[in-house]
Amino acid sequence: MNLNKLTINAALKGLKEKEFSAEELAGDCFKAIESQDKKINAFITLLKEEAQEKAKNIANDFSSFQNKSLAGIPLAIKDNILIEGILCTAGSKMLSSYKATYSATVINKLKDAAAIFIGKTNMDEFAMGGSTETSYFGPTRNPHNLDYVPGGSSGGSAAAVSANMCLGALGSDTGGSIRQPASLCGIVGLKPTYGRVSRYGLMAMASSLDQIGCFTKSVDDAALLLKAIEGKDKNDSTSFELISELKKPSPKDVKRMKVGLIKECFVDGIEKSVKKQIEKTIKNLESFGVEFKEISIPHLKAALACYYIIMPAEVSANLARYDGIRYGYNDPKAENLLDLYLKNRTGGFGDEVRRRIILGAYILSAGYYDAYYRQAQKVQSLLKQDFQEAFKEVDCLVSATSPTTAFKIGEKINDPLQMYLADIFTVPVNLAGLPAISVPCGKVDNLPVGFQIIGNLFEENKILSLAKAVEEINND
Amino acid sequence: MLTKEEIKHLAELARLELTEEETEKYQKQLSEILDYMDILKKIDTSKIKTELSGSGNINRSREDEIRGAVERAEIEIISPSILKESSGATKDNFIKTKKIFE
Repeated sequence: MNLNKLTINAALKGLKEKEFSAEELAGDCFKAIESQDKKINAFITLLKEEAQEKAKNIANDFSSFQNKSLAGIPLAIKDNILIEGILCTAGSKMLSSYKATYSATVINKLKDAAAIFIGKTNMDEFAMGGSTETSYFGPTRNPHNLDYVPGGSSGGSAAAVSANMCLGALGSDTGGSIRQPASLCGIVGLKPTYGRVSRYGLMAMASSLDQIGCFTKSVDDAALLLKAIEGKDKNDSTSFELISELKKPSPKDVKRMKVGLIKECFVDGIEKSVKKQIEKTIKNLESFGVEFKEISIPHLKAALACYYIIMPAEVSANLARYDGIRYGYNDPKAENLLDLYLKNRTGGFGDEVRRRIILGAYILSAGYYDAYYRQAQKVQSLLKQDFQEAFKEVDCLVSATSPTTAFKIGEKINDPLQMYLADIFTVPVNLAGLPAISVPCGKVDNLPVGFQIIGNLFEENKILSLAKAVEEINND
Repeated sequence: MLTKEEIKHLAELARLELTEEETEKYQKQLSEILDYMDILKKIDTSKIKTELSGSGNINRSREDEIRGAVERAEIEIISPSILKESSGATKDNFIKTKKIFE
């Protein structure tokens, strides 16, 4: 019946009206996984037995689950988010046999909403990468063309949703790790305001920038999934009390909305065909009554450099904990304590992770700290001011999510700087803590293009409504 | 340009072992990345006060209270099995590691 192809909202309706059961829905997702995932490699761990049992429970007693917001919905979870008792690898050899000892807050919230977890998805090692090629478990492939990357670091989650192996998925976004793979895989990817969703139980990469968000097939689904996971958490002191309630996204709300085209994103580094697709979408949005104007974010050109200082600095500190003693990769041949640290960390971490740890150690070392880290923090402040100035004039800002469509597997993996440049339009958003969404806006040479909409702090409602308008253009 | 010695020193601080080949590779790649960072030096930040938190967040404190603690009995039953499964070496329900003092 291909129930796996439904959106979350459509599946909820079907379940409620008893057109099919939660068991059948989960069953179709596992059928899709069995027929496709050998090629795509979106999953590291499948939770088939657990999922089937949960689906059966819900199917047998649906009336008592009916008021739950995600009752019976099969979701995939990025493998850096903890589910108690389940393997959680972060795509690394270091944690290839690590089982979570507790569940992340978002997992508990989804459990309360009666969602079903069908598996843990592949990712760049410790979320470091833009292509899912740095995973210890091999690369994930783009469902639109298996020779191409799905983007990263949440490439497994993006590919799983795009290939209809689940109805929605969670990912994490530190510099674009939700929006860029969503763009490259032709689905919706939402990165909420920093602090809207608890990070408790998310493996830390760069704590001041990390944010959990979601992948879905529609904008309405993104709003629904965010509503299920958001909110202040006493276990995450950087989470916020919510000041605005999420509404159902409506294109009617975009009439007379003022939207800024980020000038700097339409000049350098963007592929011509992608730019053309974005401009076409902007033209179509005018028919909804959206008013566009060009806006400059002067420090945008320095954002990537700023990000690749702040992020590795935090990475080198956060990943210092992995010594392989209490858990993690353990080399039995170590002779003494120093040798044990060296062997476990060298054996457990892959190339990109080591590169960022060393870069971070350099940036934070005496003599370079002021020149790099402190200067980067000052530029971060300037960038934030630029955005705040812009939001005095407009409601949202738009650009392409990624300067290119998906690239070939192997194309950029040996040139880290080229790989980093793929994040150029997404990292400024994390540095400023803002919410942003990537929504599909057509294809170039059969590969999807993503349209990025950025909002002011906690103004998810505005970006969701504008994204809904883009979605309607696309569906016509 | 970073020197090979700098790369080796940093790797040692980060408790990583690099082969000669890796040292050369990282020397080249990290130098290229740091050259790209030079764009930051050209930006006038004199008007920004030297506050450390780029995030603008302020400290939030809470009472230090015990919550969600696993029952002692549960710890005694569960944790040895978790330990055995997750760590490389255990002995009598403890984790075994190398000597800290010689």
